[in-house]
Amino acid sequence: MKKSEKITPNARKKPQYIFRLYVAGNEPNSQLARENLKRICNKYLKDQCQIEEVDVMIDFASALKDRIFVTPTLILVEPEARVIVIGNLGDEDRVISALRLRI
Amino acid sequence: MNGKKSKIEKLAKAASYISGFDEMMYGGLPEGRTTLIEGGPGTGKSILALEFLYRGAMAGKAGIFVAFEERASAVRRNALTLGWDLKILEKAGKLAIIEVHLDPKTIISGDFDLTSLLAIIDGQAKVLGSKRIVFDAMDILLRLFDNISRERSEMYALHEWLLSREMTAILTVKATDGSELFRRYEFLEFMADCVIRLAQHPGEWVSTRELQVIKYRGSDFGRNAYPLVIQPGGISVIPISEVGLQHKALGPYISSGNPDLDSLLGGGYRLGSSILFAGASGTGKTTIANTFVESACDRGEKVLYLGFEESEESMVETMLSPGIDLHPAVKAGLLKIVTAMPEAYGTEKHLIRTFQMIGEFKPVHVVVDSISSFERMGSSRAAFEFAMRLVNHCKDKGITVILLNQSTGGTDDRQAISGLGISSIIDAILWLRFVEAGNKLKRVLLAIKSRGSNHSTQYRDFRITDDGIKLSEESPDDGCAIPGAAKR
Repeated sequence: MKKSEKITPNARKKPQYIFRLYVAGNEPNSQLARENLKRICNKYLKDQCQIEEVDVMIDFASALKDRIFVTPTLILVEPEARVIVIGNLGDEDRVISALRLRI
Repeated sequence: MNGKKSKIEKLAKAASYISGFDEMMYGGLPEGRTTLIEGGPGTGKSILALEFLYRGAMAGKAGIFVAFEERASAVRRNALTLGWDLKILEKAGKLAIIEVHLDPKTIISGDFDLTSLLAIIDGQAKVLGSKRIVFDAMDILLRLFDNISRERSEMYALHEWLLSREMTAILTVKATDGSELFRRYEFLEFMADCVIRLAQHPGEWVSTRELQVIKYRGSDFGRNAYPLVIQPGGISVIPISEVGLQHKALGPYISSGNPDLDSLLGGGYRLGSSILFAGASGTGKTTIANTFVESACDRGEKVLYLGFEESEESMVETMLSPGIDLHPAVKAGLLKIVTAMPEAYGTEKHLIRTFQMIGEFKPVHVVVDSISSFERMGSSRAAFEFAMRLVNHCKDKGITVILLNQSTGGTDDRQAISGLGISSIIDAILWLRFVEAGNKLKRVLLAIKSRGSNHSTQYRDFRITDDGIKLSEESPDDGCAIPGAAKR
């Protein structure tokens, strides 16, 4: 549905974590969020995550529909329950607790 | 600071089409610039901002309302109570409401900014072709950053963004002068090109709202605090001339035509003041007014009597019963009675006719019987506009103006007492009531207000006899002439 770029680290395995990351082009915070999310995925969710990216600069309609007002915004779509994290995800500890990834 | 935009050119204005507002703003808000509206809760910030968009949209100029506090549905509902149907404008592509709420469960990790919101607004603005925008309850959004320097940098970025898109913007901020929030958001005053402050002063009978412009870069503006009224139809700002009601000294005492009433008022009416008689039908408003008319004409002072209730013959005839004979004054050319049906013309035309008559006849006093009859034109706004602008005109010319206002007869009829919301520009108010005393109905009178005079604060019994009006003595025990009065 969304004009987005799909990054699936391992397409053969069924992803268990679906993230949607709203970014604003290549703005520094958005760039950081991308990198931080990738790192977290590699570290905690190897081959288990799918990241869907929405660039609000291109697709404002999705941002409006999904009520995304600040960038970057990360949504954990699956598994339930939905989690919303805003910011460049720089605080890894906080992010993994929020995403229930702490072991 | 805003060096990029410092071209010297005539400041363009964006008309608000709000009654009285553009007049005091010398045309409207600064076009393509940012205006800050600040004030405590309930002062009318959101309504003023929304009305700017609503009236603009009605005039074909599309607008965007960004709501940080209220739900879009609440904005629409509140607008409906003022008689504004926003849905029609939204469907017509003249208005968009963007409701900005962050899920309370949102977790913050690291820095972020408002690019997404701006992208949404940009998109909407292009779709609607809109140059007018309101950010309502900006303080709620800023709180999200939880960091004073981030708040500032985001606000400056937003301001630059608005300038670059030549948006005529209004930001509203909930802040009362001197509060902690006020100091926190004081930088917005420096940033904005125009700053409007709203305040509310609760009074004993009616609370009044006020609007004051404290800054308008590159433009002149009215510097007083102006009364602001919110009623069905919208806001009216009362653009009292710079001579200012508040500052204008009241004239000398003039007799009301009845010595008892004079003493109750603390000496009589004041020349050039505005006086309101409020009360239900039959309480004696017209009789009290004509008691004054007769005595004024006896003194050789010209009176213009605007009657909207009955014909000249009928009114003059009726007044004979309480012993008031207006014939000599009419014959001598001292009293001019003009009757018209309110329904005959629009408010504007009534006003122009009235101003013309005032200009030609040059009365010392004007009586309007009654302003409530203008409600028959279908709106209390019409009555309000007429009364407000007539009072303003008379004040400017030093003419005494007596307004009669018929209430529906409730015991606490604030609408009638407040004279359709104009009480802030009224100097004296007499309230007439019927009360039950045993098995009889009697009339009572209370001076609610008499500016610059030490008036009685007791209800007085009030009778209409063959020989004019009679008032009871002031009772020494401060007792209540009517049951329940002590509670007030």
